[in-house]
Amino acid sequence: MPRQKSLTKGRWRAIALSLLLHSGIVAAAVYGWFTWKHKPPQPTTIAIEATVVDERALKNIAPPPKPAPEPPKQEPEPEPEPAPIEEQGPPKPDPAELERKKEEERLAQEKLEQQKLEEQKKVQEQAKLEAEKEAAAKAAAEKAAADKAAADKKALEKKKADEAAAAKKAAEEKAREASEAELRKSLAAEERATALQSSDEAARWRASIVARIQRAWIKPPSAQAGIECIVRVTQVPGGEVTGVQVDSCTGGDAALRQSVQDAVYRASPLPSPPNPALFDRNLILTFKPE
Amino acid sequence: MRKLATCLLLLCAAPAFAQLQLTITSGVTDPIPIAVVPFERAVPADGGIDVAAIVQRDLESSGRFKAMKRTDMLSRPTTASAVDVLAWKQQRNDYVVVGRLTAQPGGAVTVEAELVNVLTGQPLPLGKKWTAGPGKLRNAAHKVADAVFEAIIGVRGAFATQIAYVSVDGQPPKQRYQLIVADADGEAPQVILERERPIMSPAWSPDGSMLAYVSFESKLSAVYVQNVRTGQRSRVSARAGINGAPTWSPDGKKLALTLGGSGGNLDIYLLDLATQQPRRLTDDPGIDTEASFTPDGSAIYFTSDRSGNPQIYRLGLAGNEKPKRVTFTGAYNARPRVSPDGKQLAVLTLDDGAYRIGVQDLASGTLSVLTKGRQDESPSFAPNGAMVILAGRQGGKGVLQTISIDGQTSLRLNADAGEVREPVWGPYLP
Repeated sequence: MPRQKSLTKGRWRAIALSLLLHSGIVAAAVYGWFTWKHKPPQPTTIAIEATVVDERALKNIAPPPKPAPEPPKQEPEPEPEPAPIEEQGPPKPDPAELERKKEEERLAQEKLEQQKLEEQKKVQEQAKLEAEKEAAAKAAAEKAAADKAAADKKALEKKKADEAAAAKKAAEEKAREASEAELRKSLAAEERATALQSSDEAARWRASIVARIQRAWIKPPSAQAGIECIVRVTQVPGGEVTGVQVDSCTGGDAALRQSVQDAVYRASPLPSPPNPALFDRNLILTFKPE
Repeated sequence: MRKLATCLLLLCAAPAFAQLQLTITSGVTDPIPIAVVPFERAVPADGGIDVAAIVQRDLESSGRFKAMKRTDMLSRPTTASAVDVLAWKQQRNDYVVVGRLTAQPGGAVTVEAELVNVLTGQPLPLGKKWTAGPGKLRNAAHKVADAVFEAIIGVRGAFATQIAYVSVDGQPPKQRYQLIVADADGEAPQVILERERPIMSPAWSPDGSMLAYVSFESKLSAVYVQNVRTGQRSRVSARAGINGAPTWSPDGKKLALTLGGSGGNLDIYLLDLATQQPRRLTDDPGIDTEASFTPDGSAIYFTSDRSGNPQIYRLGLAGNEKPKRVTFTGAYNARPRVSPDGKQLAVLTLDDGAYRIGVQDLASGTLSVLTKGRQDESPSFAPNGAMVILAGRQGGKGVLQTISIDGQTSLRLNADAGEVREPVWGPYLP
């Protein structure tokens, strides 16, 4: 019997050892799982989900720590592996040792549970924090969405207005360009004429006309500084004056009008330009004595 | 769309109107070429008076016209419609005057004249006919000249006005003094007073009917006022000492004159012709004399030697004003006469050792010498301010002379008698 007794005794010891060992493995596995699960920055994943979750759903989801205890259930699977290793080595028969180990096991277990609790607490806090974050993000997202909608609406309206304005402007531009094109044609001719008129020979010609008329203007007493007469003159090639019209004479009398008219006729024929292209049938003279 | 079209039209059309714009800032004072064609005569009513010649001489005397010689005239039209504008223009005329005389019953003659601007081909209306009674045809001719002058120059002509001057004949002690009134061209002189003692300082009344003058006929100087037409006269000042240099106020009611009093200090007084009461205007130990009124009568200019030499001073007549000296050019300026527009002063000035006629611009104070004589004297403005009459000196005796206000044209006038002194140009006549 003692043998049986001893056998039974040895058997219990093996079971206890095995339990202890397995518990240790499980504990290690659980710890490993937690550390693995919590080290990576999970908030990003959760943040992405946040956009689709509403507050009620968030409340239901609130106790996510529950899955935390589950892993140990899954863990026993690797159990068979360490077992053979334990069985191969002859277990130490010291009951004191056993007792101590038991105590250690219990302490470890307690510690483990303590850790588990702490972890759970941590996870809960984390979840709460994340929920708050999600709520804030959601509010921000909603506000952003509203803002965006308003901005979009505004942009659309502006776009419509811009398009209308652009169309109008384009139409105007087109009309203006059309008229400018016609103008340009005549202006081009005029520009050539202007270029010619600004040449030295043109300046000399103009000066010679002025000099001739000034020599021919016999000033009446009323031709004082401050008077101004505008006279339109027509001439034909060769310089003969064919028409003189006194448009206005400020500050003068009939004799003044007469004198400026006479001056132009007296100066006829006016000097011919060196270059026939310079010739102009129409002159406007301003009599303005100094 | 229409706006655009108009805009285009304007833009394109504008250069066609006004390509070349030139400014004329100066002119000349050359005489204007004119042809005064002999008028169609009225024989014998015209008494052989050449109206066109009188018109021509008048116009030329102003310095503003240069007349074509009759011998150069290719035709002698007497109406504007008969004037071949191009032909006259080709002969370098700007204007042509044509006219006709028509005898009227009773010896009167009607003068019709027309003016043609051959530069433009346009006739210029002279406005009217002039009918001259017997012996008045010369005056009618001057009126034609006035009308032509005004039509072209823009200033009223002063040819149909009169002048007065003193003529001296003989040698001391036997001398003959005459007060003469003549046409402005010196023709048709009439003696209105003749004395053996000096006659001095004739002055026209503003209406041209009277002359005031100084006569020594009673051995002492006295101021007389005489009606030019009737010869009727009255002595208005024969106070102790010198009575001299009368001049009429513009309203014709007063005379400014120089009185010496018994003390002999010459000062200027204002004599009311109605009351005969003189009021003293100047009070200075120096000589104050030769007053001349401004056209508005608010002031006189006079000669004073208070500074040591004769100079011209101005005295406002409004209140207790002090005389202000106005001439500062040269050591001698005397005998001031205010121009009809009140802007100039004609004076006798010592210029380069000679006594000459100067004209001072009153605004700027600039004095310009008009004449070139050695002993010119007594300047007096024509009523239009365009000319000045003066006594020049030729062959040792005084002669009548006119000069255009620019000093360019000087003309000697005929005077039958001897030496001419103190000519004065009369006002416009009604």
